[in-house]
Order: sequence, then structure tokens, then C-alpha cells
Amino acid sequence: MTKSHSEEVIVPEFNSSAKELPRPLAEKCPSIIKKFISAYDAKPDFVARSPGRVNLIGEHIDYCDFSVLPLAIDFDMLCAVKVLNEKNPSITLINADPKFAQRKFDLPLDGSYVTIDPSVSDWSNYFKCGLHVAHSFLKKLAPERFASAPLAGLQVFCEGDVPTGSGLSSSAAFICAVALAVVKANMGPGYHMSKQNLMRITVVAEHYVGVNNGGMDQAASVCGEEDHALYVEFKPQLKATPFKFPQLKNHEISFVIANTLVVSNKFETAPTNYNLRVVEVTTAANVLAATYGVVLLSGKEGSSTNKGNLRDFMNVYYARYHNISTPWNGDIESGIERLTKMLVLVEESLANKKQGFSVDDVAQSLNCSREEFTRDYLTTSPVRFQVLKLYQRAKHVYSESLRVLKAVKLMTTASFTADEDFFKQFGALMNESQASCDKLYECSCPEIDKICSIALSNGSYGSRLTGAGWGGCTVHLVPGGPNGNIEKVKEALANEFYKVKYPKITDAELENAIIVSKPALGSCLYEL
Amino acid sequence: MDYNKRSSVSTVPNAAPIRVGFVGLNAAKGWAIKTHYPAILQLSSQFQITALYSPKIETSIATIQRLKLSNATAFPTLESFASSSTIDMIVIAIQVASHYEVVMPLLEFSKNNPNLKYLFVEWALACSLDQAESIYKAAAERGVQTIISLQGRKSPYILRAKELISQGYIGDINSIEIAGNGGWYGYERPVKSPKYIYEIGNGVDLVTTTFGHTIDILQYMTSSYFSRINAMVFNNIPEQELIDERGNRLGQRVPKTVPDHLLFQGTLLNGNVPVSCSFKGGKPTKKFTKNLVIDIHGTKGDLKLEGDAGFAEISNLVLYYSGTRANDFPLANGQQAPLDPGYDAGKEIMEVYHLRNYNAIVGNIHRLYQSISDFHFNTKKIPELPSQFVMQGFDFEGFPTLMDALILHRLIESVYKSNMMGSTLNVSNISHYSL
Repeated sequence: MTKSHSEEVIVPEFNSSAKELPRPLAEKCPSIIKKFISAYDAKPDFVARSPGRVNLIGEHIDYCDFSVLPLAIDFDMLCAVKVLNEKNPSITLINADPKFAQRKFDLPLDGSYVTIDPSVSDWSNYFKCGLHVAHSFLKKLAPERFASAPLAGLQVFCEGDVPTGSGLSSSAAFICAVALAVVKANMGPGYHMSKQNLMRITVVAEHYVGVNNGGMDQAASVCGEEDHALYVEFKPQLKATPFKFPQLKNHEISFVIANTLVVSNKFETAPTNYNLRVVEVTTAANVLAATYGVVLLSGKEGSSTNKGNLRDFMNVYYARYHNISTPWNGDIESGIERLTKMLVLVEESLANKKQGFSVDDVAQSLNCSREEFTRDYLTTSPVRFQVLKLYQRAKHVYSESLRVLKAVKLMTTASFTADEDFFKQFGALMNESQASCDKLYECSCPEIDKICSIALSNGSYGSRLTGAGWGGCTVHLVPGGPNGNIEKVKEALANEFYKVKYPKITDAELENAIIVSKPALGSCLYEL
Repeated sequence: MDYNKRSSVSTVPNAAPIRVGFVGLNAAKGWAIKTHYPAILQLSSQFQITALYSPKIETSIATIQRLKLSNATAFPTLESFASSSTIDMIVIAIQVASHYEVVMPLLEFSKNNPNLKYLFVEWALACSLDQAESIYKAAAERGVQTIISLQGRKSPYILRAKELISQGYIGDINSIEIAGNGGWYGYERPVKSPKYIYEIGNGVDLVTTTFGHTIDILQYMTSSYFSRINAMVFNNIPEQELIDERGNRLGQRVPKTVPDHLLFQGTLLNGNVPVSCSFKGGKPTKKFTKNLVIDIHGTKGDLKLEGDAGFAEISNLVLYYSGTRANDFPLANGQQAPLDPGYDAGKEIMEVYHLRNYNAIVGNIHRLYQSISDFHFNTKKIPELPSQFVMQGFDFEGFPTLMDALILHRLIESVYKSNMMGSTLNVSNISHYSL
């Protein structure tokens, strides 16, 4: 473990006179600046950048407040910004990708928030989410300036290489870059945004378009560090702790990221996938609470639901049955013990309905009417389903959370007799995670399974989906360095998956589909 | 829902924005400042406010200053406003009682403006069917594309319901029930409420507005007009008590001549579906009652729409669907329907569609403006898009026009007529009238 982020850490700022720019800025800023000038015939004032992330382990548990282990990657979203001093401020957005058409909208003169229409799938909605949370932050930071006056007008050029729908958090990276940019534009050079504030405000941003994500994406994007994975905790407070990978004797630790090229459009599939899972895990927590005679209490700020979650259940269960009134504080050993117990309870009380709960089943378990259940649980965002698979979802959440703790424990092991010991142990956790995502959470897809199978047969020790799933990217633990297997894995994937599934794939596309990314720096600013 | 995917649709046209002249935009009060103005703010590349008219020019000047409408001019007379060639679209956002006396001369004067392409009128079109028909005819003769703000047609919940119905998710419709509350028409009246909405004949009442918007939405969702109707209209609360902003009674009673109850029954042309509809005024005495419920029952499933306000066109509704899959229907040429993994073909699907953060008051009007812009700039690049169309009818695309409004006015006229005559009326030709 290295330094903690419990103290305020400023988002790094660089400029053209800096001696050594981080690689992403050095490589990408000249290009976006040139494109900005070409589009607006003016020079931008600064560039805000936020990276995408890979989640090594800990999928679909962040919105239950359990810890996760992501790392920021070299793919990122950049926003070049010029601040305008207009009487009638407006914001113009241009995206380097022509799939995302130009946008322009005015800012309300009375300082009220820009409207976001969650029923429309539009890329500028994500900009507006970042704008909204930044605006809300500014109103608290400097109420005399922002309570009833408009924000500054902006010209924005957006460019990113986080593939959309790939599960690497393109939307979160974009929102973090935007929020950082808006605060910077309005507060000027004298104000330095902290990582904690940027992380805290962006965690709720996507809720404004009806996406109930849990905050891992934003934490990883903002707090990423080179050569470190992040241990992201959501309770007692949001915290991201960088963990350096163990130093091995003869190998480097590398992660291959392979994109299935199956695009999972969150907006379209949310009712049967993401939104439904949120409902299922919330419902599972409440069914468990009703079964064991405890009451969930949750008043999470910014949460779209106040029904409590699986972590809340764990806390109140231990308060009632073990007289431990203090909630779990993230301690590894006690966490492992508690999560193991939770898995026993899930088997005990939910396993009798493995085929799934109907609405009537749930209402009966919760001692309420189906109308009450529908009103209280199903109207947070659009959902569509036949049955609610509470057993499978709860089991995944608790077992995945347990694996995260085991992974962190492994990361902090001082040394290994043989390098292979680390690869086998960490890899096993990743493989168990993939099995759980596939069988219990049902967020894999045939392409993901195929890629994992090929990678494991050719030198990967651990292979799993990353991100929400249902397509997108996979991540593979592969020994690197002179004795490594990276090239073998890449070649096998190219020949056995990509050229079979996508016969017309070009070398350039192949290059983008399989990458070896080192952990990258988190959000940062580049001033001109 | 392809019409909801807009990332690749440019909202910055390679053309000048539509120049909008407002009748009835007041920075201090009114409907337009709450809805039309914020909508246009969001679409500033496509719409630009260039003109304001108000009987008192000081009102327009104050609005221009307050909103910093740097491109807008205040006009002293309706004639000078309507004649100005700086206007491509005129928006009428004034009291319905004044629609006829403003719109008719405005259309006449506008013959001096060769640039005028659009006339956008707030619902209701006028105070009577005769007036509505006169306005429609005058607009048609003037040759402008018209828009009526039946903005409930743009609600994401209505569109989703329409989508589910049209794709066969509920099979054939076999019955429909509607129940709603019109909040202003009960035993109490807020003292700040304008007096005209409680006087019959001003074009704003439980039947024309609350029922009007809702029944239009029903026809739109089901893609069907009515064939027969029967209605009863009541004014059982002829006096109301005035209350202040905190709900305290002021000890003063005022007369009310608009209805507080409507019972409506009809059958839809498509499928001879029975529809029963009940609207009443006032706040519900039972706290858990929904102010608006629309139940649509089909052979394969059911739809329910619920709202916390009796005005579907400005409410953030909840859509509930339960039924079997559309793929249960036989497909053409013996095609095998693709099975969704994880879905049991025989089991019921449930869908709950609600967007907690959707602001329906602004959002539905905003989407209406978006449709006008899509039409004007042909943002979806439809080949041979006509420069004008007569009515939206039941299309997903486009926007409601004065013909759609006229058809609705005819239905409302039939409601009053049925009440007066005490009989069931055949309205199957309501959309076929020639003028």
C-alpha cells in the first residue's frame, strides 16, 4: 500500500512549460488542440482529460456499496475548452467522432440548471450531466457568484478513444472530464479542484439520465495512478486507495484487454439488463431483511433509491445477531468473515426459489401488496422482466465482494515462492468472477465466454469480462516481460476469435481491439 | 425506440435559425415563460426569438430586457408585428378567449410577410367549434404550416405505450377505462387563480382542457378515433370557496359556471372498443388515489398509465405493461421468431417505464419544438420531404396540426351536444368533414 487519498489531493495540472508531461497528454493534446483550432478558429484555454477504466475484479457490486478493484487505462476522453465572455452565454459541443453530431444550447440567464431529457439517447446528455453536477458544486462553493447568475459560455471540442459501449466507462470518463472542465472554466486559474470533490460530484451524474451506476467508474477515472490498481471503497466514505502490484522475480504483471466488439448500448438494454439488476439486488436485500427480521435504513445522498442494499443488510444483520452495532468499516479480515456468513444466509433463505421470484412472490416475502412493491421498487428507472432472480444476484454480489477482499489480500502479500503462485491465485479469483458474472449475474455473452476460453488456453491465468458486461471488453492476467505470454495470447485471440467472428477485420481494427494497457494517470488538466 | 436516439442527428443546422415571434411571452408570468422559452433555450441553434407582441408594448420591452433577447423587437401593434418579415414562425401563447380575435386579423396582416412559414397555437384552438373552423380555414388559405400544442403526444410514456400497442404487445384492445381529476374545479379555488378559467365559454375547462388533452392522447396511442360517444356534463359545485396560498379559507364564495364532472363513454372506430371515462374536479379526498389512471386491456396484455396530476400532457407518468411476447403471433412465411435467451416464451413479461428525472412540463414542449426543427431542417434527411403537411394523425413522427386540433374540437363539441340532447351520437365521420 502506498499513500492514502483520505486527505485532499489536487487534480494534477500541467502546462506546455512542464518538463515532463504524462504520456497521455504528450501524445494526445497536440492533436485535439489542432482540431479545436480547426473547428472554432480559436485557441482553447485548456484541455481536461479523464481516462476510462478496467475493473480487475468486483463487477456489479459498487451500487451495493461493496469495494472494487479497478485501474485507469490509457484510453481516455479529452475536452478542449475555450471560455467565452458573452452576455447570453451558450455552450457549443463538437465531437471528433462524426457519429456524435454538433450541439449548441443556451445557458439559463437566471442561473438555473440546464434541462436534461432522460428519455432521449443523445451524447450531449452526458455533457449536461457533467455540467449539472459541476454547476451544483459551484453553487455551493461560491453561492454569491453562481446562485442566480449564469455559468460562462464555452466552446468545447471532445475527443476520446474509449470505445463507446465497450464497458471501459466512456460515459463516466466523459462526465468526469466535463465536470472538471466546467469548474475550471468558471473558477479560473486560481482554483484547484480536489480529486475527492471531483469524484464525489460525478458519482451521481449519470443518475440524471436514469442510469443507476454506483461510482466505481468515476472513482477510477479521477483517482487513477500509474502502475497502481485502485481499491475503491464507498462506505463509510468514498475513498480510492492506490495499490502497487507485487514485485515478482522473473515476470511483469500485465493485463491484456480484448474488446468483443459487441456494443452494449446502455440506453437500449438497460430495462432488461442494468436497471433490472439494480432492482433485483435492492429487492434481494429487502427480502433478506424481511426474512431475518431486520430493518434496512439508508439515506444515501444522491441515491435514486432509499430502499437499502446488500451491504446495509450485512450491517444490520450483524447488529442484531452478533451485537456488533458498528457497520463494517472495510477491514479485510472481518469483511471476509461477514461475507462468508452472508453467503450462508443467501443459501438458507433464497435458494428455494432458484427459478426466480415473481412479483407476487416478492410481495409476499416483503409482506406488502404487489402494487406497493411495484410503486416502491420498479419506478426508479425503466425495467422489463419475467422473474426476479434474487438468489443468483445476491449470491454474486456477496461472493464477488469476497473475491475483491481476497484479491487485495493477495496484492499485499510480501513475496511469492514462485511468480506462478501469484498468477495462479489472482487468476483463479478472476476466473471465479467470470463464472459468477456468467452463471449468476447473467451479464456475460457468448463472445465474452469464447474470448476467455481462448485466452486461458494460451497463457492467460485469469480471464473475465470487465464493465457492465453484455458485450464490451474482457481483461486477462498475462505474465509479461521477456518470459511472458502476451504475444501468444494476442495471436491466439486474433486467429481464433477475431478473424473467425469478424473475417473482414483490418489490422488497424485488430490493433485497437486487443491492447496491453498499463495503469494510467487519472483526471488531469493541461493549460495552454 | 429509434425516434429517441439522437446522437447522430445534428441540432446545429447549416441554415439560419427559425425566427420566432411571440404573442404572449411575458418574463413575469404566464405559460410561455415556463415552457416555450426554456425549450427554445435548449434549441438555440434552431430557434431565435426575434419579435414580441403584447397589447401593452411596455410588457414586451420589459421582457426583452429581462431575458436579454438581443435579436428581438417589441411591436406596438398586431399589424406591425404580423407584417414584419423578420418572423418565420408565430407562437400564440395567450388566453384561449382571445385566440379568435387575435389570430384572425394576424393571419390577414401576415400576408405582408413573405417569410412566415409556421403558426404555433397553444391548445385549445378557440372557444367554440365555429371559431376553430374559421381559424383553421384562414390558416389554410394563408398557406402556413400549423402546430397545435397537444404536447402529450410527445410524452415518452405516451410514445412507449403507442409503440407497445402498435407492435402487438397487448394484442387486440378489448376495453379502456380512464379516470382523472381536474384540480381547479372542486370546492376550493386559489385566490390567485385567474377568474376566466371558471367561466364557461372561455375555452378553458374540464372538458376542453383536461378531457381534451387526455382523450387526444388516448386516440393517438390507440391510433383510432371514436365511432360513437355518449356524455354527461355536470356543474354540481356552482360556487367555490376562495383559499390563500397556504390553503386557508378566506371566507368568500365565488361563482363557477364551468363543469366539475364529466362522464364520457364511447367506442373506438378500430375494433369497436368500449371506452369509459370519468373526470371530476377538485383534489381527491383519498390521499392514495392517483389523479390520473388510464387502463388499456388487450387480448395479450394490459397497459396502465398513472399520473400524479390530472393533466397527462404535463405529467411525469408511470407506464405499466404486463403481457406475453409479441412473438407469440405467427410470422409471415413461416419465419422462426428469434428467442430471447432467458425468457420463457409462455411466461408473462412485465415492464415498468418511468424516468424519475423527466420534466414533463418543459420536456414535452421541448420535444414538440424539436419535431418542428426536424421538419424544417430535414435533420433526418427524408427524401422528398414535403414543405407542408395537413395533419399528424397517428404518426410517430411530425407534430400535431390545426387539423388535428379541429378534429378534437369536433369531438368536444359532440360531448356537449350529447349532454344537451341526452343521446348517443355517431361521430365516425368526425375526421372526414369537408370545410
